Amino acid sequence: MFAVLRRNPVALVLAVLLHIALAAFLIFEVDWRDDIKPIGGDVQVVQAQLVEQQKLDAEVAKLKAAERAKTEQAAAAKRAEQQELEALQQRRAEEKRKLAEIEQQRKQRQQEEVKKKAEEKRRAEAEKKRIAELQRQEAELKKQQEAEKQRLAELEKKREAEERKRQEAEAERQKAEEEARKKAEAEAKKKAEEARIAKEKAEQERIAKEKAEAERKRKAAAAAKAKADREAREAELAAQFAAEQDASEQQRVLAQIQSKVERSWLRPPGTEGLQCRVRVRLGSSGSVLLVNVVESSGNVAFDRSVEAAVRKADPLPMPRSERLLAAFRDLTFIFDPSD
Amino acid sequence: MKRLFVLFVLLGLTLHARATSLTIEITQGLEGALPIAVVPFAWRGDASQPPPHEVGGVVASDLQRSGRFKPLPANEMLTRPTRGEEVDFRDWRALNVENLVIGDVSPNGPGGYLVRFYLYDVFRGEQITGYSMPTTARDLRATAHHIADIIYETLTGQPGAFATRIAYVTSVRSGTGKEAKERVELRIADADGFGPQTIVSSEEPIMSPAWSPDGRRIAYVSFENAQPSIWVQEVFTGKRDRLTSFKGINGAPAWSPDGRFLALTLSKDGNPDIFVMDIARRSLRPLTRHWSIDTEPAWSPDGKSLVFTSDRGGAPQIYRVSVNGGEPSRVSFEGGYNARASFAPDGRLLTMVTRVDGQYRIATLDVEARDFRVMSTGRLDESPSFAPNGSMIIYATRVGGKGVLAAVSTDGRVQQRLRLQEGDVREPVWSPYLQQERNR
Repeated sequence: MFAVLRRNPVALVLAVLLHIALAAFLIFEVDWRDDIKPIGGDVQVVQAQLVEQQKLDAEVAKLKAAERAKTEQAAAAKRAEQQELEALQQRRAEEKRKLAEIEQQRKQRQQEEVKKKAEEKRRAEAEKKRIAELQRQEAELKKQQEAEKQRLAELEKKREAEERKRQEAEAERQKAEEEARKKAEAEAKKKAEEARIAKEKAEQERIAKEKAEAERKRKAAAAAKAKADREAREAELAAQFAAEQDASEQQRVLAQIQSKVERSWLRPPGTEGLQCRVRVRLGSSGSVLLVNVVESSGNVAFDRSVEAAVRKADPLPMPRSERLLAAFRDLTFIFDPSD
Repeated sequence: MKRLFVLFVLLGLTLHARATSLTIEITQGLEGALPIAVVPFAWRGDASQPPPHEVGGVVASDLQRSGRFKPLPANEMLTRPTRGEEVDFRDWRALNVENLVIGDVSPNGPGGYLVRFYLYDVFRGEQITGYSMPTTARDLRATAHHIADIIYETLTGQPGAFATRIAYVTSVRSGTGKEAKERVELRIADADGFGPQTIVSSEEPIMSPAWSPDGRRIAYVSFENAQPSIWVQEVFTGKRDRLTSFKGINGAPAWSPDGRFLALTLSKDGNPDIFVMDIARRSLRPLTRHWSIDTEPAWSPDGKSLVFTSDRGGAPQIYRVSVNGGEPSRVSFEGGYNARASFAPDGRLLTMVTRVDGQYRIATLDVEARDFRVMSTGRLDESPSFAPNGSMIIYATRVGGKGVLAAVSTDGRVQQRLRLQEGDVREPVWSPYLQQERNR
């Protein structure tokens, strides 16, 4: 049912509106029809009286005039009233005015009966009867109104019940929804919490792992540094040792080369005081590849003797150390017999 | 710290070495002649008609005489290549020979030869130079001297003086017994003493030959006609002129470097003094005027001054005077006797005769350094003169009572007698470079 209604909220609203419209219609239509009937009856009653009491024409006329005046007055008032009430509850106001009018007429008639006693009693009776009838009608009307009211109330009640029921259903639904939502929320929350916990756990694990890694790295680095330091110290010592070795080997080989070249140098006579500088390129085994006079003595024979001395000394002693070899492949000789 | 310092020093050394290369100073070397091998030249012609001279031998002899070279004796050679492709440098390196000369002689038309030679650097293993020279039988020795000159100049940077001449005076005894006569001859020979030619012959003394700077003329003193006269004779034509014949001494002619003047000794005024003669004008001007004996003038190579011998100090010594005259200054101070000075071509060295312990020997004096050296070992050595390249001094020495030619290298290392000459040889004098012979 709810599902149907929920699926068709327009229909529901239309239905409710129809009900309300029907209820309003019933209320106002009933009122409208009931009002018309009493007014008509009232008029007929007045005419009958006129017939029966011809004798009193003058009076009646008089009365009638007065009555008319009064009626006109009343009518005017009534019209005014009507006009006044028209916007709101025109019909009901009219009726009330008529009732008031009727009450007024009855009082007039009673006053007449006082004057005419006999007649008046019956008429009073009739009047009483009519009033009773009117009262009954009124009661009936009231009863009807009551019933209508009750019905409306019931309708209202029913509507309310329905409304309540609907609200309840709605509430129920909302509740269910709420619960479902809450449940889902709780579920989500729970899941989120779990995820958070898992994440946290993973994070913690990661941090722990990182820490461990960092620690490991730090230790490794420290170890490596210690090793490097040790190796550097060793290398330094080795380099120092090698440097000392090289220095002594360099000196030794230079002396050997000097000695060998001097032994092979045949200096032209009378060349004291001359000086010649030659650049010598050697092969790795000490073979003389190139002899270049870079500073001539100005004496051809002296320069030639210098070049010959270097070439005659081929191969020149070379250092065993690879480190020194390169330096020894490019030598400069200064031949200076003046020393 | 010390180790560190050593390390830094070595690092510095290494860096330095990279930048400049290691430097080694060589101060000790054996001073000596250059070992060279001159392989006997091959004869490419008819074996029964070999050329008159062995060119290689002449070259080797020239080089040896200079004192600058020490030719390897042919019998010590491991191989005797005569063509480039036959040369194996290892053979010569093993013998410690620095340079190698090979060559050959081929027939070249009637009476002609073609001489080829190659000079190698043994330790560099490459040819230094090589020439092909057409010549004749007559000029074969001259060609050999040219080759020696080329080798000398290539290896020492100085021109060689082997293709030059010497002039000398010799006495020749002709006939026997009572008919024996002694003739005096002025001769010209190759610088090694070969090929002598007589240009003047006389029964009277001939003295003091002097080469003109162009080598075409020789001035000398002749006593022919019993009166000393100074003559100038053309070497190739024999045409001669008498320049002076004053009373008294007419002696010791010396050519100025430009060949226009002759310095000489004259005693026409009673005392021997130095005069300068303008050869073209035959005009004289005195250069020295002193009561002592002034003689034996010699021009400096720049022609601005002369040295001469004078006993104005009590004993003969060498003095120097400007070509314009003026007060002479003493040059020689060592020893009690110094005479007959002449300049080396560089103008720094003088050679002269000096007396050492009663022996007359050849000496050199470095004019600037005042370095005086005795170069010869004879008892009566005389008449020294420089080779035109200044590398040698030729002089006369006495062997067995006879005068012979001798030469000493200017450094004094090599002394040798030239080929023993016929007769008694005196007053040798070395020619300048000879124009036509310098045209190679």
